[in-house]
Amino acid sequence: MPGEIYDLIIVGGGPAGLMAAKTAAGEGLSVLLVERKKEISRITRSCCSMWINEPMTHGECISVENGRVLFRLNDFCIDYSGSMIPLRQYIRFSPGGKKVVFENRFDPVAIAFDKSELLKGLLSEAEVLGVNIASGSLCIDAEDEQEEISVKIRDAEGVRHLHGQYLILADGVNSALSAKLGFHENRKRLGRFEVISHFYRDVECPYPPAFMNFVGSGHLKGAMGNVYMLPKPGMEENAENVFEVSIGSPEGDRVSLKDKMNYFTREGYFASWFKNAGLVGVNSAVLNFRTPLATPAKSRTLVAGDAASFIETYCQGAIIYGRAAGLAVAARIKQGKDFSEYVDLWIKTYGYNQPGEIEKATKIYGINRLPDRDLDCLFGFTDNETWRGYVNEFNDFERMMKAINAHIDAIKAERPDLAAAVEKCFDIKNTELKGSLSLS
Amino acid sequence: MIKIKADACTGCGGCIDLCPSIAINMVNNKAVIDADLCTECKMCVKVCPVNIPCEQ
Repeated sequence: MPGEIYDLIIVGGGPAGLMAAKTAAGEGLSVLLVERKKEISRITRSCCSMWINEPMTHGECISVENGRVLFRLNDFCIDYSGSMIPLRQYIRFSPGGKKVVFENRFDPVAIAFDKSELLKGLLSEAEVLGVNIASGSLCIDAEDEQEEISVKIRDAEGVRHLHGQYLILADGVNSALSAKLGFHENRKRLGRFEVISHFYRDVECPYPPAFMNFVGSGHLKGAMGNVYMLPKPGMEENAENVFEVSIGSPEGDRVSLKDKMNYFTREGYFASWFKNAGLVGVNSAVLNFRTPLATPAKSRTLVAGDAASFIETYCQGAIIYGRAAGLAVAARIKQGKDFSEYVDLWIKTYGYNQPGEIEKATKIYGINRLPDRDLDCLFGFTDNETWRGYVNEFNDFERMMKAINAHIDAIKAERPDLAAAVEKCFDIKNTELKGSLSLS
Repeated sequence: MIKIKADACTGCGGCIDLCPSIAINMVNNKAVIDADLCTECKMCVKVCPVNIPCEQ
């Protein structure tokens, strides 16, 4: 309504923004949510959309049951009745098709879900609770003043100013508004990544449902980048073999992502999986890597979800922090509380706020960038083995280390140069880390 | 003048995020450049993962 002052204005209708909206509205606040897409539940951005079920990811142990996703430690649940595919294995392939396989006896390595259905569910709950939804509206500016906040939005009818008491920025990893409002001081930009995702039906993949990561430049005809692939639930009716293939690459590579995709699916080692495949959709993404926000709240503004993160929070993290941001604004309005509880939760639980985690996550690229023949040699040692583990970037590096270190003596005997290169990648200086990785 | 080919745009919004002039809108899930606001800095050309914006 024109002239209305909302209790809360939220920018961004992804998992964090919608969760913040429905939570705050559920607490009785008047809420406006601004989203640039017309259809909020339509997914246009690359996102592998998996529940990361490894315990203690972002301080939570999520589980899925009977149309709900439980967040036990944060003590809430959300409805989700869309389709899901439990992923049995996490497979990392070298260019010559050798592999490292992670699998758990009882637990999937991750659970692929349909993000469109997730957003649909959150959106309809938000609407029922009375959230005003301004979709098809781009927020082009925001002000945080002493007495109120205001946003400037542009939609099909033109430019408008809207006013509120509090603001939540959930506008994603490239959040320009958090920069505008001064949140980026002391935040380091680490680079830019570009991603393209193709969705194919009738893929003939011989493995059980798996998250697959293809490392080494041989998958991309010598160009830079990282390929991952997983079955995609909910994309096509009655189509079981729909897979997402995504390629990510650092900014400014000379070979286009499309050419890389064409090479991977038509000429690469795994091209035979795609000989009868049909393309059913294309998504993409650009993301700036920045160190996470040290303080995602100041004055009347909170930053939630990927906007505050290093790369991402996973959908489940966006839900946790979006909810917490919505609760924080309600507690401020109703009980006069400050935002410290929200900031503490972010600092204590978000994976990349923990010391050393960013360094560790980027170290895995050291292994991924070894020359093709070295990757084939290394993964040749683990090719017939199964290691325990989940899809989770926080523990990926250590698990790879463990699998490869189990063969380090054999690698030394066969390829001392490679053993030295591997040890350099692993850079095992920390004795505590070393101890925890010794095989039992 | 820089234009985005609507049929090939995935609607990911990367160019909208990174356009320094905030000159790009999402119309029918596609990015559309507002020629009045565009300064032809070519940031959108640089960041598009599918190489869609081009000079015309």
